[in-house]
Amino acid sequence: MVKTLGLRLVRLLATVFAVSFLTFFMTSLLPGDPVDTIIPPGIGERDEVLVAQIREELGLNDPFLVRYGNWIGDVVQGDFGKSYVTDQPVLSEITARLPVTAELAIVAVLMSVFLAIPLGIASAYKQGKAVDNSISAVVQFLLSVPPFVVGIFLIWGLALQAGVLPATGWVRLTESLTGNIESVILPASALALSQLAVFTRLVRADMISTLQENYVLSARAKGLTDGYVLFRHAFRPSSLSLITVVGLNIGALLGGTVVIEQLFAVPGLGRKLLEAINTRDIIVVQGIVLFISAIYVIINTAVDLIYMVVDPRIRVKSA
Amino acid sequence: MNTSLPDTPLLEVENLSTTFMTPRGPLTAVNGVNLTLQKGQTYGLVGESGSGKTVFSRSMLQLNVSSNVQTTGSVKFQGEELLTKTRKEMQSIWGKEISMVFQDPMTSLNPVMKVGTQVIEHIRHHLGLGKKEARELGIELLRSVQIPEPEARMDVYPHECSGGMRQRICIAIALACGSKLLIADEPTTALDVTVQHQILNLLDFQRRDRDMSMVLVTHDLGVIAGRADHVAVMYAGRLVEVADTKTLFAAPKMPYTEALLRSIPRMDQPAHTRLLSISGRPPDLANPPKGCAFAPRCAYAQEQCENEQPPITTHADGSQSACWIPLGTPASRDALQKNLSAGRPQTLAMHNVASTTSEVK
Repeated sequence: MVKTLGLRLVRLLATVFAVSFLTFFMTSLLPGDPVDTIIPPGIGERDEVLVAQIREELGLNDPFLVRYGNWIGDVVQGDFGKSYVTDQPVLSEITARLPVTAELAIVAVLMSVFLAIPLGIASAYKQGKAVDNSISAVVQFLLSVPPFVVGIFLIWGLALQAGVLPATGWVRLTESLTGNIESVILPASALALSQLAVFTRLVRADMISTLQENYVLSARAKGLTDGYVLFRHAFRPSSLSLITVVGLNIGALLGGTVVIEQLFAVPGLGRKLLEAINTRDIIVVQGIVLFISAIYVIINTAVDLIYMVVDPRIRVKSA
Repeated sequence: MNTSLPDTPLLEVENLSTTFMTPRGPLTAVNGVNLTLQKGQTYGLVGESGSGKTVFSRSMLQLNVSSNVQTTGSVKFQGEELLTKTRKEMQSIWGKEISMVFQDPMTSLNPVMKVGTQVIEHIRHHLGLGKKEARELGIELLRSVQIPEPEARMDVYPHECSGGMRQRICIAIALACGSKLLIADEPTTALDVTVQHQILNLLDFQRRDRDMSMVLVTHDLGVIAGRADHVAVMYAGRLVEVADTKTLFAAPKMPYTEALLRSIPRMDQPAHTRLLSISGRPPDLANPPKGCAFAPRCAYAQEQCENEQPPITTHADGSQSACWIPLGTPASRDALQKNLSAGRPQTLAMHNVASTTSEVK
């Protein structure tokens, strides 16, 4: 077990390093000069000496590998560099934005998972009946509508027509609990609905095959109630693909809230990333991408560990 | 034959039929089955794969998985009709009054739940015991089915147990709530031969010890011998012969029963004797034959057999069979002679092997 965990840790670190290199490489290919951000061209006379000096200071003249070595060396020590635009440390920019995105992603995942489980189970239990057909129809619809369209509809319906929730903006948890909850509901729902569709399908498909298993019949033959058989006996062995996809999706959500954050004017990591790309604030882009990918890799490792908790047979194989 | 009938039988099945609605049309897997089981007795139900044994045992309890299934007739348990009960009402009978042991112990325990949980969950549900009392009862049950170190076994997962061990656990589960009837659907088919014997003896011992009755479903007549009071032979969804075990083994009336008996490998035969098998296969139940379902494979079949469904008739020794030409009658000897001289392939297959065997001897 300890050996397994150690091996996983090594693999995790290797992946993060590989990602960091690729990120650095790709952002270095981006057109545009970071110095243009600091001293915008076209406004008066540019002091070419100063430009050259800044370039030298930022190490932009160094060869690619040297630049990467310097950057990753600092990152390992917790120094992500300073934003070219705001002159703030990149790390503090990230940590200021991260809670917002994390809250959004977590709320969205929780909403979708906790709705998808009962819906998927009900659908599988009543396979081919009216309940199943209507759930499947709604799921099909949600799958084919992109989240931002759902978002626009939610803003129109709940914010503009009913006026119960704010259309855009963000209230921090530290400022007001109710305000925070109100501001998270709409963007999280927009994110959750399409996820909900995917998760419901997964749960339904896995449950249908589990319900054919002999041990479900023997559980029924023991006189246990249907609800108990469904949730205690059938759901857990049916949850492995759900766990995989939820894990993948949390990672994807952390990076994928960009559009929704933009739509709902939520000051999260995704919005910051977009800003940084637009202003050629490359060091911020690198920092955020590295951060997101590290979280992604960590979550996937966690998912593998959760497998072992859910299915004792996997525990034996990897021990 | 048990002649005294002091009170209502424990289980009384009348004219039970089960039909599945399939894309190919209705398929009658169980057709007009009658069966009476007295308290404390064991009923053996024998038939080859696909004869409807499993569907029958599940139909009695409304445990068929498919939703497009229709069961008609009557199943009375202690005088109470089961087929009209709702699912909720059945849930208080399943596992508490009537328990089942299934064919494959490798798949009938939940792989992600500890053995202990599976042994006691329905004890708590049916008997309303607390966690601690239920656990103690669970350990006691595991000990009674001869599982070594029952305390430790409570906390392992099914995949950590052998097949025989798992079937013992399933039996412990079936015994847990003091059921009066145990339905064992091929309980030993998936097990090693040595373990089969132990499990059958265990079932028999526990049944006597707890004063239960049992329906023992199997494809192996050898399993029935010495363990069942009565035997019903099933073919293509119908009971074709019903008798007490001694009579059935000594004087089978139905050619199918005779063929089944001859297909049991025997120690007293010389080595390398070709094992007799019944040629052909059971009929397609979605498209059943007009006459006796066994006629196409039968050594004795005559024209009447092909065209008319034989009714169940009672013989002098108390046994019942559904056959136009019951074995042991002059008519059956004549039919055999006629078929042999006509060179009917089914008849030759059945009787040539037997004669070559005696020549080798």
